[in-house]
Amino acid sequence: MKRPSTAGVGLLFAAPAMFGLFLFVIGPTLAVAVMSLTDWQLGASEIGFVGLDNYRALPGDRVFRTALANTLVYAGLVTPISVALGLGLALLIEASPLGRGFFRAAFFLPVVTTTVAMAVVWEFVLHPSLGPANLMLRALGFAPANFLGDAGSVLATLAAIGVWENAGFNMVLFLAGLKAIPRELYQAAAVDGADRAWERFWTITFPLLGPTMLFVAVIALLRSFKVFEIVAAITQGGPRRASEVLLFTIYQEGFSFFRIGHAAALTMVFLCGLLVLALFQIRLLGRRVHYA
Amino acid sequence: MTLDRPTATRRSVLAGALALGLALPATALADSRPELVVQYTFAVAFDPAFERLKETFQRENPDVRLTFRAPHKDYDTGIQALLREAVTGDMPHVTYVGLNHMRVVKERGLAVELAPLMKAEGSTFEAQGWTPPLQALGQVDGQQLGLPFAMSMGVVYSNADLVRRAGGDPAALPRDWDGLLALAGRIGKLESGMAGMYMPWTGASGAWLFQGLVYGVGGQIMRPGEKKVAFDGKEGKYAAGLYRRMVDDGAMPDIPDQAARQQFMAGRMGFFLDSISRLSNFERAIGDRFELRTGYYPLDNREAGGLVTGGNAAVITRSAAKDPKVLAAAWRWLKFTTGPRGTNEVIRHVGYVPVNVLALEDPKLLKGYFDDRPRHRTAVEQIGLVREWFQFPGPNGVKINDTISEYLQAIVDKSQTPDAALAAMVREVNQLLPR
Repeated sequence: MKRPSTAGVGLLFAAPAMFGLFLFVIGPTLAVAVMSLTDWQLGASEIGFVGLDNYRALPGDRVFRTALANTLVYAGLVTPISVALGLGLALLIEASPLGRGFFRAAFFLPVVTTTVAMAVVWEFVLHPSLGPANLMLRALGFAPANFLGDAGSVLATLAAIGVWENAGFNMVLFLAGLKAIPRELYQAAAVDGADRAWERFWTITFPLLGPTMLFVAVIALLRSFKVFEIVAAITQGGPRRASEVLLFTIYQEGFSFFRIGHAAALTMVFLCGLLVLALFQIRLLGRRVHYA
Repeated sequence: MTLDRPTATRRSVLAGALALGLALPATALADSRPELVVQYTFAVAFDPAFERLKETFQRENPDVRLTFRAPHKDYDTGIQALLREAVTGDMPHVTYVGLNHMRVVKERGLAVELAPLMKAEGSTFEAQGWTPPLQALGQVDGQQLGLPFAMSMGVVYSNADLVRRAGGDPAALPRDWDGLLALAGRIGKLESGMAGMYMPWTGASGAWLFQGLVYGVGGQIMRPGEKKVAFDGKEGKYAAGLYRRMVDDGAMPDIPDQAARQQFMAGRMGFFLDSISRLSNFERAIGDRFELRTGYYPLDNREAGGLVTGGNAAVITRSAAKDPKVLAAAWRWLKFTTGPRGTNEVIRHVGYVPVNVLALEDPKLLKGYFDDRPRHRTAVEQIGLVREWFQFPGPNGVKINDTISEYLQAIVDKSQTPDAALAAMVREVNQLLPR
């Protein structure tokens, strides 16, 4: 069989997917890159080339700086906590066969529910005076808290909801990782005298879970950077932009304020940030591949 | 310069597919009548009214085929879709635009100017109920780009049970801020967890109601020909100060808009100040939990003050102008829906304030309708006070409203004094205005 023809057939088979990739991913990305160099307003018939002006304006833009800081704080809170919690849940579920299916489903439920619908529920639960959360606080003798209405607490509250949403997802990934660890290793460790729970976790589970851990950590980080629905549904970035996050800023600038050029520049910055994170993931993972 | 290729291609492919889908049934019927495509907004509220309007219009105009596009959720999504459709050349022939977006319609050149059509009607046009103040609501910089269809304004929703408990008279609420705030303050003290009042400072109503406060003391948003806002003086300071007084004197909680709405519906708040368009929503949610009433919006300057208007206007888009037959049909539809009979349907099925006053005098339409509906009547009696929903010029028009909300929040949560917040608000808004 001749090599070149195989490659040709391969290309032919890949063509529909490549076409789709160009049409729906690469093309629009290039379009956004071009838009970010213009002053185009949604619906306007005129479009002007402004070079890098949109990017130059970003460092001085108070809303952008706030959104960037908030997004970093949010990701900084949600990523480690949801990863740790996901791991803890996976270990607990894996440890006992009792009710395994139930707990797995229960903790995974937040992942499959619609965020916007859940936002409404959370809004009610955290209602400053009528919500169950505050009724409970009051019954325990604490002062009621204005979780979503106070500029000081709104981001932490959204982060807590983010953890609730993501922990189950991480848990499922960890469960898969745990399944891949050979049972014999635990038996061998027991023979060697390491049979206490902590010893087993520290000497076998944790190191063997390394690649899974890294994968989960990076996925969780990327997911937390993409926080949008809950902000759009509940807080709209408020109060006083305390919950303004990048994706919401992009949406608002582009589709509420019609400033497409500015929104496109924000998108490119956001995209580059995520790209750097993804590259970071590939390099670190690459180093670990031999381990698995 | 043209638009970038890739997106334009993708959009036109989608638009083409959509057009094909729409066109197929039409060809099958071999219908030669001109098709009039109409799109409205706020499906939940307006669906029943538009269904009835369509039925009547179709009966009286069999030479036109009227089709509705799926309605939009709210004014923002409506204008966003319209702007996208303007790019792909796929706008509906008639659309209903929030009054706050009329300036965008003008700046993007989306609409057909109505003045020539109105002139062609001669003297009969005004006689049919479209009074000059009514026409003015559909104008931008003197250009008639739409006719108002549904109009709203602020009212005071009150929990009459709580008002009575606090020693007030629900049938005669104070019409000045001092009186209303004092009564709200007393309601707030009735028991723990009770709020006196709420007036949204964020979201769709926030910046709109702020304009209302400035108008209420006789102030202006911008003076004609100037490039700076006009609420940096004593009227603006009074309006900004009111937000702090609502918190301090009126027992207004610093909570999000939606949370406050729920609290009012649950019967744990005395007054909710918002647009009359929320009436049917409140009525449904409250039921007989407590006695809901509406009262006049507080007005401290009875001579020079006014109230801000909201709502939407019917607009004929550029795409109707391509075919004179379609344009004529669109104009007929526009007159029908914004005229006395359209007003009649909107009032009966949606709420709002009548736009066409002739409907109020016609016994077959709305005459007598409000007699046993005191909640609706409040707004009708305020009609004389309406002022325009000011739209900030330039590319940052919408963003400015958001900026105003942000500083109102700072006044309410006491992170800034009202004067400092107003000064910062004015500075930032002036920067966003075109130089």
